[in-house]
Amino acid sequence: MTFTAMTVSTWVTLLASLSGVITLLYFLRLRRRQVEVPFSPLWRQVLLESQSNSLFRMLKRFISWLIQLIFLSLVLTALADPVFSGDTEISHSSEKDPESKHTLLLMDTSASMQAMMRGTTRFSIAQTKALEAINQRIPNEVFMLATAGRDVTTETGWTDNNESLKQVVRSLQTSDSTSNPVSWMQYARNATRGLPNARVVLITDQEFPPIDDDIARSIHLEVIQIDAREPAKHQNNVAIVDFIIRSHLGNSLKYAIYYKLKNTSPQTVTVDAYLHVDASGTARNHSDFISLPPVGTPARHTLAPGEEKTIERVSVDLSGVRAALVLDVQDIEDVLQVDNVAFSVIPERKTVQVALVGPRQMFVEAALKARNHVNVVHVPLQQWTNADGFDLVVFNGVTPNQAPQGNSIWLNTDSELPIPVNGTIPGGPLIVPSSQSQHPAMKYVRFIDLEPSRLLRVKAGRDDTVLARTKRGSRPAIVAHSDESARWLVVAFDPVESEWVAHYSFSVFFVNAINWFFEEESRLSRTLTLARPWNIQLHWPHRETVEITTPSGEEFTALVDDGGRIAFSGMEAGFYEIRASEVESNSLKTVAATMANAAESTLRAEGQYAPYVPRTPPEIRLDQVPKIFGAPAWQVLLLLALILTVIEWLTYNRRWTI
Amino acid sequence: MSTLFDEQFLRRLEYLHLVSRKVYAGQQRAERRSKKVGSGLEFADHRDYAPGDDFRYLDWKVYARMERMLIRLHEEEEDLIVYLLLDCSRSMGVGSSVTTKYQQAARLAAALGYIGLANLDRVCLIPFGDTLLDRVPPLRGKKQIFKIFRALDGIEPQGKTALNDCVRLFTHQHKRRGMVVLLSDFYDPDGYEESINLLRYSRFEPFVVHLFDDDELKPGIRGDLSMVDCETGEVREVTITPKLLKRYQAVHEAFCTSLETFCKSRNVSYFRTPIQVPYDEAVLRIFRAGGFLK
Repeated sequence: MTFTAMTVSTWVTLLASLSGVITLLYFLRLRRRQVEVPFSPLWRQVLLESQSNSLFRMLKRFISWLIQLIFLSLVLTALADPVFSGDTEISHSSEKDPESKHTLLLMDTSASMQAMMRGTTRFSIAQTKALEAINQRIPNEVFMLATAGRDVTTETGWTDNNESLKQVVRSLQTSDSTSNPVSWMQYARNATRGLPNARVVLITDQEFPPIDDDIARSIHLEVIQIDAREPAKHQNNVAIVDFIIRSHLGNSLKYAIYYKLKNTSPQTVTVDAYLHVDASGTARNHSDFISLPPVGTPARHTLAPGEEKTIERVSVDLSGVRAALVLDVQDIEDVLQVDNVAFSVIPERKTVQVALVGPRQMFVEAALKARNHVNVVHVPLQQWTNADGFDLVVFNGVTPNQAPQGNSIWLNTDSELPIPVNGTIPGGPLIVPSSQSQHPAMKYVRFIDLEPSRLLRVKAGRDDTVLARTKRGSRPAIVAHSDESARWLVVAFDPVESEWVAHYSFSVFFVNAINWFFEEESRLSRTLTLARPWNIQLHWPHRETVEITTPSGEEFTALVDDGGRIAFSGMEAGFYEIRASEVESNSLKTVAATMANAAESTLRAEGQYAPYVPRTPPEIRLDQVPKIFGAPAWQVLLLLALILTVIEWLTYNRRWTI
Repeated sequence: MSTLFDEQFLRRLEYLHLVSRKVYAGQQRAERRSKKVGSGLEFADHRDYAPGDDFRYLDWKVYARMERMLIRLHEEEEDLIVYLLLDCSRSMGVGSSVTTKYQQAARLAAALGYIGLANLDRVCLIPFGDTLLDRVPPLRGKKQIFKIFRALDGIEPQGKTALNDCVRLFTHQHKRRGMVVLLSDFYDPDGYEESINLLRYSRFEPFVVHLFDDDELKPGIRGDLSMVDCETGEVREVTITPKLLKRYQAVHEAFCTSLETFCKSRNVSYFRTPIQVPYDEAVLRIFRAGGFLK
């Protein structure tokens, strides 16, 4: 005999546990309460008659217990819908059963699922649909639950436990990330590979490019679409779809902001763009910035239906702050709020004080001044003491007794500072290794026909980076070093003798060097998008892990690779703080993450997929229903249980005497 | 003042006394006549003269009319002794209601004793359980009621009921006849018949006050129980059903009826009262039933 409504193991577990409860109650029933009576001979007269059937009195307790157990097993068996061997060919629930069915429930948690619809979010509707799908699970079907944003996260394993599935569904939340159907399908294919009767049920608003039909068919994709019954209303959205802050080309102390707005609603809307800044460095997300007053007056924009507009705000006089651009949409009810804000970290900009130590040389001074707001002070070596009051020291062919703290550039200095030098070697053509072409100090720097006649024989250490070398022999020509206390660049050849000073790249090298020392450009690049995983260069040597604090305040640890990079995937828009250590305040980096994704903000369903159809339980034909004495088995079992209840009632209907 | 006999109790006693005087007006002090023939003032009978009789009692008027020498007989007037035999066994203390049988019996004993004292009878309180306990010797006068109160207050129901033994001992110890008010639930495994008969045969005038608790007839118990006899400690495992309870009520009623029948058939005053009836109302009922006041 097997069961269709539950597994045999479930049946046995239920029977054992409930039998235990009944037995416990039975023993409690055996405990007699003591009652004092004033005159027992009167009772004796009464009891004389009822003691005539004493054997039955002795047995009835045991019989009562036995009847209750039989009753329980009969009811459980009836509930389990028994099937007797040979009666039918109905299959039964078991993961090992080749006929068991697998359903991967994939819930879209991308940002568009936060859009409001009929007074609630799309994701809330998706949760309700998921619960309905779980309720429709048939006995021999197992579910697996996963959430799909930019990445897919497995929430449960294959299980037939409806309650645990529902519990997980209720606890799920959306992310601010974008849809990534390619990744979803890849995950679905891997999760269902080799499983019999597998299908993938995607609960989504279909706000992503259509999935290829072949792929959808191969994984038996079925979609529960969050149906927008009033599509026009439910697509009313104005979004920031692009957001850039870069250095102002005409003024190195200022920035320029570019942003692109998109109106997906069918009507013209007016939008006010407010710029909020936080100089204290504590604001982390949208709600933190809302409480801060905006900077200046808002920029008002009018957007036609479906229009995308790029706006440039130049000469933004900000420095060393966290900034947020927030939209206030006037004419429509904006259904998606997460794309109405964009974040950025704006690094500090200032006039750089440079000490040029050594013989006065106009080439170097001119190259330094290629960047605006650089004050160059010429200091003869004899008068040089320390770097106090200077942001950068350039040693041009001379070597001090002691290397300064902070940032420095060493041009053709033949000494042990800051790295060992062992004589000179013949020069030759120089190249920038491809691995270092993206180094901040070497951006746009290419060596064409640059052949110094001689090079200092420098020895780069383990923590040093060779930014340029000889084409033959790979001798270091430019070496960079960065640690927590200092950064320096060593040029191991004479730029004048090699005529590098006459190249554009010489000035670009100095502008890059200043940017690298003060991390201006690199920090600007840290407005990250939630559409892709992040790879962040830290420049913190000898670190294996860092602590990351998300915009919502959660903390986790990330591993630092050999190149000083960390890779992780943020799922919330806002500011992420990366700390090397709690105690070292200077080892803090802040990156901003913004949704800014036109596709995600469009709020228009795309693609046609097979709709979700709940599986139907195995059909039982009337002639296949297991029978006992010509009647369905469950009816007979329930009738027996009823009869036993009546017997128990007649023989031992007593109230609890605990 | 104890909780059993407070100021209110005393006021009610006085009221009962007044009621008793009103209902039975004309019966004053020492007017309870004994059947002894003696030197009282009330004429009782004549008898023939016998040599040695006091000439002073010859009825000369009869001799003048009928020429027969007859002696005038007078009733002896003496005060009556009221013995209050109070059952203090453990069964009198059992009960789940506000009061117990013992408390009700004690109040009744105190009330009857007060009325006796007020009528200038002698009142003697004799508590008993499996034997006679410390008695209060015969008292006279209303002021003595407080001795009875103190005695009743100091009693804790305990022990078995040995009615026959106690009555036998009582008759041996008390030669002066009088009324014996027996307050008890009569829950004695050896029965009550012998004890009542013994009082009758010893020429006491028994007055049976049978107390019972209504809650005993309708106990709020069901199911499997261990039933413990409060006096003997005998344990009996029973399963209480509504049917069984009905049967028990019938048996209890038969027990009460048999006691009543026994008493009435022997011309013994019998009064039965549940303890749920207030004691003053019970006393009035006793008055109305007759037998206590004469």
